Amino acid sequence: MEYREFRAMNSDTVLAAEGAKVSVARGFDQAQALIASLEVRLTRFSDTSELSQLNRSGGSWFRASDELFDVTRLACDFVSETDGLFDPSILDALENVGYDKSMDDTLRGAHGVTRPALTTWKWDVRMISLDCERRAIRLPRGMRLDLGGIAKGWIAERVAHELARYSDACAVSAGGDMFMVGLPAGGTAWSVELEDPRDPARTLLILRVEPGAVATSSITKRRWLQGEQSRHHLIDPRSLQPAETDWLSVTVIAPHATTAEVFAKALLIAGSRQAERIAAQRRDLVFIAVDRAGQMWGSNNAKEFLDVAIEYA
Amino acid sequence: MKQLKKYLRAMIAAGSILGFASGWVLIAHAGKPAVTFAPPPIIAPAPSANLAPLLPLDNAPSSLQPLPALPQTRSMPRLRLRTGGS
Repeated sequence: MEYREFRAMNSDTVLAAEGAKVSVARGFDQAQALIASLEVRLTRFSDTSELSQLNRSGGSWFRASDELFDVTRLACDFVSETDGLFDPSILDALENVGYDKSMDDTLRGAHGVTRPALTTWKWDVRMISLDCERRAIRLPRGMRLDLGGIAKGWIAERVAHELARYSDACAVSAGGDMFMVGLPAGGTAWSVELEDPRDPARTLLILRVEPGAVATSSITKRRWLQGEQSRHHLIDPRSLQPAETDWLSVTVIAPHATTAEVFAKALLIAGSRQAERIAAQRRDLVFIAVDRAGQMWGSNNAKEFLDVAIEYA
Repeated sequence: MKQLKKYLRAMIAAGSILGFASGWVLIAHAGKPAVTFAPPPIIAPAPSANLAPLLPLDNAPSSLQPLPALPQTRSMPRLRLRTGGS
C-alpha cells in the first residue's frame, strides 16, 4: 500500500492506494489536484470561492457549478432526513460563536476572537429554491450556507473514485472522513483505527469495514475560547449554540461519505437519548459513540465491524 | 316522368317516416341495460421501505450496546487510516 499525506481542507488528508507504482503516483497527483480545485470552490473561508459568491447572492438566482449544486441539494435533502439536526444554514450562528475563519487560523489566534453578538435566527432551508435544469440556486436574502463537513465527505468520495482509476484499491481520508474503493490485496476489509476523543494519541478500537464510507464527528477537536467561554464547532440548529451533548464523538459507517458525515453530526448533537430514536428509524446506519467516560456505545449492528482478531479489554 | 318523380318522393318520405317510427318503437320496447357501477380502485400509499415505525421514546427498546475497548497496554504499529473527527 502506498500513502501520501498532506494538509487540505484544514484537515490531515491521507491518500492510500495499491497498484502499479507509477500509476499510483500519477493517481496521487491527480487526486491532490482535484482536492485543491474542489476546496477552492466549496470553502467558506475565501471571499472568492464559489460558495462565498453564492452566499452573497441572496434574493437572486445563482448559476452554480455541478459540484456546488450537487452538494447544496444533498445538504437540503439531509435537513429533513435528520429532522433538522443537520442544517447548512447555521453559518451566522457559527460565526457568532467565533468560528469566522479557518480552524487553522482560529487556533493560531491563541484564545480566539471575541465578536459582538450578532442577531441570528433560524432559517428554513425550504426557502432555498433549486432549479435542477439550469443548475441554479436562489437563497433567501440574508441566508448563507456552510457546507464544511458535508463538502469534505463529498470531496473524499469523489476523489476516491478518481484515484480508483489509477489503482486496484484505494482510500481517501480527509480528517477522518473517509471513503474506500475496492479491497486491499488478500484482504476482506479495510482496517480503520477509532481515535479516543479524550486523547487523540490513543486508539479505542479497530474497525474492519468494507468498501464505502466512515466518518466521525467530535466536539473535542475544533475547540477555541471566545472570551472566557470554551466553544466548539458543532452548532445545534435548534438552539443555534454549540451543542450540549453527553457524547464526545460519533463514528458512522455508511455506503456514502455524505451520509456518514451528516449522521455522525446529527447523532452527536442528538446525544444518547435522542440517538435511540434515530437508531430506531434508521436501522441501516452503523454507529459508535464515545461518552465522556470513554465508554463506547454502538448501534445493534456495530459489533460486526470490530476487528475480532484483536483482544479487547 | 313527372308522375314518376312524385311517386319516388312519396316513397322516400314514407320510407323515412316508417323507419323512424319503427326505430322508436324498437328502442321503446327494448330491455333496459343493467346499470353497473364499479368504484374506482383505491390506491394505498406504499409503505416506505427504509423507515421503521417510530416508537414512543419511553417504550423504545434500548438499541445501544456497550462496546469493548482495546487494552491500552497493547503495542502495534499505528494505522494510517484513523478516524476521530477533525
